[in-house]
Amino acid sequence: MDKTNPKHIIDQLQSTITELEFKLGRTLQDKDIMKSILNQTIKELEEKKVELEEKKSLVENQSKIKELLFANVNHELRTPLNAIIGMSHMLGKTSLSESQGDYVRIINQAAENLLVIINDFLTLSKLNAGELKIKNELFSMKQLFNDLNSLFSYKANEKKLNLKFNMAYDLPESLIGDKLRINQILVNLISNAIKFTHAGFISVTASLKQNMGELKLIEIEVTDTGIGIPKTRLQSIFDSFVQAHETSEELNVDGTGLGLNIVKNLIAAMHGNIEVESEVDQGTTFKVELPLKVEEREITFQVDEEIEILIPERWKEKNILLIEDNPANIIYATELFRVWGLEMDIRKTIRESKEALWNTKYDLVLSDVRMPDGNGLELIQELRATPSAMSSTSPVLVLTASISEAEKEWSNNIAIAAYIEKPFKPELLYKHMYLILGGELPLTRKITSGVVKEARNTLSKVFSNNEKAVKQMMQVCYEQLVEAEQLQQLISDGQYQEIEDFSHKLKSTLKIINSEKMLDSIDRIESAAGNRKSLDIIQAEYDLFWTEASEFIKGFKN
Amino acid sequence: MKALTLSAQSLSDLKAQLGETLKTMSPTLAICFSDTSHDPGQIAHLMTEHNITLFGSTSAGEINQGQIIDGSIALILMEIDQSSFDIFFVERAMAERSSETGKEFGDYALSKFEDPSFMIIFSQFTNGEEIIKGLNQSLGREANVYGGMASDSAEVLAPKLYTNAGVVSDGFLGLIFDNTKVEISGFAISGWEAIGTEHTITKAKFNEILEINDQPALDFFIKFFGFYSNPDDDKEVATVNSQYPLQVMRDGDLVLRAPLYSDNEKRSLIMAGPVHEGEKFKFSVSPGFEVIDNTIREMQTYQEQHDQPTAQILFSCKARHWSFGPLVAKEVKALDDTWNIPFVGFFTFGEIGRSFNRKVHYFNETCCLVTISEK
Repeated sequence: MDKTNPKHIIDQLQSTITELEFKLGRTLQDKDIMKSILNQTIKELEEKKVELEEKKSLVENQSKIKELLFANVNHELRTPLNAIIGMSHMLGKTSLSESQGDYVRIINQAAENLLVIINDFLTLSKLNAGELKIKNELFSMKQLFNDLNSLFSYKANEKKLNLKFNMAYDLPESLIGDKLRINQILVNLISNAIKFTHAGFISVTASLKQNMGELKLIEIEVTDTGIGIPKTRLQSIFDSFVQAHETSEELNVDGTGLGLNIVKNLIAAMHGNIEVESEVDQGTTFKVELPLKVEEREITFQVDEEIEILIPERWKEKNILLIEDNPANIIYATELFRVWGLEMDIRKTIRESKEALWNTKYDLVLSDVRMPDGNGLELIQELRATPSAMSSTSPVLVLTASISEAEKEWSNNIAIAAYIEKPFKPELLYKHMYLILGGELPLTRKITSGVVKEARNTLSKVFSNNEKAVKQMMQVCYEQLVEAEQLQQLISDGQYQEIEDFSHKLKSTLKIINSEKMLDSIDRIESAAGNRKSLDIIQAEYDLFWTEASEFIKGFKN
Repeated sequence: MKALTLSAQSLSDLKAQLGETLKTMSPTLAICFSDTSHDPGQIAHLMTEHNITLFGSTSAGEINQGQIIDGSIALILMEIDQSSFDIFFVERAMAERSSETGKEFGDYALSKFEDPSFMIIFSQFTNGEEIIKGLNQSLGREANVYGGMASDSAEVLAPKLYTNAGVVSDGFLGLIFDNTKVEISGFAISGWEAIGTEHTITKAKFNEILEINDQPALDFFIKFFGFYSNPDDDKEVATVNSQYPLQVMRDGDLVLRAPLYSDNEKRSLIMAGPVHEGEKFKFSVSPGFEVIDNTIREMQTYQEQHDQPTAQILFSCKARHWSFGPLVAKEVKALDDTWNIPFVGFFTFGEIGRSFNRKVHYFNETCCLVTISEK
């Protein structure tokens, strides 16, 4: 086609004009449409914003209601538990028949178990709501292990399990982390290990896995020789309400199935990691990795002590006020004070308490928080702000079944001496009263290991509570166990006959104090030596024996 | 294989051109797209007279050799071994039976050829998605299938599909090729982009949306785009509607659904494809004119990857025509210029083809090209 042909040029121009007209038309149309879409979209977004704000407000309200409900339920559960645990504890200290003693122990144990479940739900609820705050506080792994040893050695002994705590030489002495939560993790793992292990050992080992600059990656392994976890269950054991064994009922174990889920979430909240390896009928190892900071200065290490309550004479002259509305808790506190030989005023409402605090100078105030006609903390706040009130500056111990972190923070400026969470044991209240009112003797007078206590109880029964005879016998046992260290040398020297003879001699002493665990080990040492079995086997049995014997020796000396 | 196109303005014109053509070639297959002003029955009769298998549809604009010739008959004649293709025709392909129809189609094709490939035409009463599902189910793999929904000159009243055996308005017509002898291939390209917030189809029945976000669908549509509602002028609403398809989220994929027309009494939108209650979608607006350039670039890429075919067929959405106006001719011309081979097509109300991820889908708003070659 001739492009210079006028007709062609006119056609081309016409075509271009048509295209431009169309483009212009569509552009104008698009402009109107886009304007409409923009307006409509803005309107929709505004509507959605209002809708979202309403939803947000609803969620916030629901969250507040949930929090309140949770706090109330928590409070209502802990309040009666305080009475059950406290009273059964006190009842256990009175003169009881053997079966009565057993009943009391069962009541106490059941209540303690219930408390663990309530605490688990509390933790889980906080985790789910994202309200769990991880604290950074100074602690010693050695002390933590010692506390755990005290907590679990009795249970492990009952099942004849060897519970061992090991710390690698390079593990820093002082760490910074949330001691309470790390303790909660290990309590869960160790109690599971004891629950699912019927023979052998449970070992808890802490080591330094990696230096990560300012942080150290600490690995804690909890290994048992228990029934193990089937491979099919390993993936789901950290899920909520899942137990490691489908046949938990058959295994005769209890639990909510929340423990490992809480463990995993707590570890995650601390930016750590947990792994599990297990073989059925061989055992299980949980490896926990936690990035923690290291503190250079050393912490004074304290052994977990059982406090002997010694009420100073001058406490009897002290003016003490209890603000409490729950009848069971009033009876518990009254009975506790009666046993201690103390008296106190009791006020059951805020109104009555205010009158008492304004008109009497109290040396100590024990106050509940949730009262029928108000809040205990608000009463203390008002008290502190009223210099004319007689008890304006009196020390206050808050006894509470539930208090939020926010409430604690809020009440920081009203000089609360301490918060004691219900249910509480008498020793805890005594310890805080001691710190406030002062004592005549050091706070921790006596350290009694589980083995020593058990031996003493057995001997008390044998000698019909003749304390002198008990003491003499305990001294004999102590000396014989100290001597038993010679066994180590005999084993090292491979003197089978001497080992057999020494073990045989020791058995009669151990029978008197009824130490089954030591007795079993010595029995096996005697038998192995008699049969000239491998010295390694004898050494392993000796290690088991010596762990227990050392505890007795240490406990007795203290 | 030989191919040749005819463009006629009337049946007599077609007869005359065919007469001349038959002197130089012996066509066995005709693919024909015709305006509704021409009687498809007579076209079918004419082809049957000359023993030519017919695969035809009425159209909303015919394309012949790169030109849009509205009101015409666009025909491609192919001289191809009769044993390499077959026709499958269902006179009444109800929507609720679409999956079964697709499966029967596949079963029939497998009874004829070991390795079949397909071109299909179907009516608005047929569920294109279900046809593909049934066909894939029968083959046990993804079918190599292309095609489109029959259309008419924007009346959307009686698009028809036709073959030698008859003319129907709610049927299904399939052309089956023996893939060992004839290769068909192609691509589909769109360009429509989502706009505004996400909405939900809260009430729907097959291809009719009754409610969006619990409001009458038509009112919602008008309010969103700012179109005034004129119950006396259905055509205007239909014209505007199709340019603004819904981008429906389905199994992680975006599927475009163009409104074909509205039901002013029910205040509903009739879509060119099935929709489901609960589906989330966003509206979209016509893309810029650069989309035409995208099609041209895609065609160039396609050309680089393929040998020159014998013929090509275009199934292009009518909404593109409305949206791009005279500029759509530029797109069609560019497709023709690539190889300059026999080329016919039409503006459809729905397309089946391969998207960029090379999956076969039932689309709206696409330009779907198919090429045919002898192996």
